[in-house]
Amino acid sequence: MSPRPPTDGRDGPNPDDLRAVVDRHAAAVYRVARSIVHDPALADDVVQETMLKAWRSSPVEPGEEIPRAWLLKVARNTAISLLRTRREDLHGPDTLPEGPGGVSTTRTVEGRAQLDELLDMLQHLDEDARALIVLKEVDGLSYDEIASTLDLPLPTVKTRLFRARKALKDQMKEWQ
Amino acid sequence: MTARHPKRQRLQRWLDTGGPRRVSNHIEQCVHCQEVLDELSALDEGLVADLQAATTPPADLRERTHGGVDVRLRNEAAFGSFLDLFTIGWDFTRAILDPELTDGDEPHDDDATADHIDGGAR
Repeated sequence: MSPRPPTDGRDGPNPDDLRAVVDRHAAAVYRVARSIVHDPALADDVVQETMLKAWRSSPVEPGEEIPRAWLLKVARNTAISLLRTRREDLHGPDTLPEGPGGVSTTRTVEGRAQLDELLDMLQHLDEDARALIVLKEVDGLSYDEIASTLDLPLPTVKTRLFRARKALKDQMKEWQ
Repeated sequence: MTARHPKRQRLQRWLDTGGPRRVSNHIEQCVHCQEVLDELSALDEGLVADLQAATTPPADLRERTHGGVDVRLRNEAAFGSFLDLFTIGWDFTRAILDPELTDGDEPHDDDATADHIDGGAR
């Protein structure tokens, strides 16, 4: 069967639902995408792909709220899949550029350049740690939602998050 | 029975090293120690605010996403139409080239066909 044009709406999911999902969740999906892929353009692709998957394969009835943990899980899997397809490196520490130091854990970062440094520090963490930090500290998911998103047992989520926070703080100390 | 827990210093060392296994096993099962570790590892508000600022999506993300998904859907629809044309063409070619399809799977009853065409005039 041919994919349906966006304005069709006679069968399948409603295009208005797609707009609603984008409006509500695009930002959170983008952040999860950027925690996995370094390239902003690729993160855009992840967001679009995730939105289409959510629209077509939503686990809830039309008009109902899509569970955030389910959506972010789709986003994460999509990002990993796209990353493999495009053979982009996971931006481990060896591939990151050297940056100037000067950020402390207690100081508010000023300016975009310093925010970029913080992003670089985040990129020094392993993929799970980055995802945990973003999901908990930035997106504000509960531990249960994170466990569902990452397919991990609840205690494992907690212990890995504690260690991820510590690792981020250590990164910042190294840059002082 | 009094529950025994690692001291805060011990939990702090676990944060530093991730070990020993005995402490890790205790933490995995102990909500109390998880709460202590949550407190010990908490990021200060300034850093959380910086993380949120650093990971803020582009201001036009929604518009870009709406535009991007519309283009994808149109492309998919166009590709689907192309495939449909190809499928129709293939079916037609196959019908011409495949003698079984041309003749039909069922054996013809020429007399009966003729009767039908004659319309019972005979």
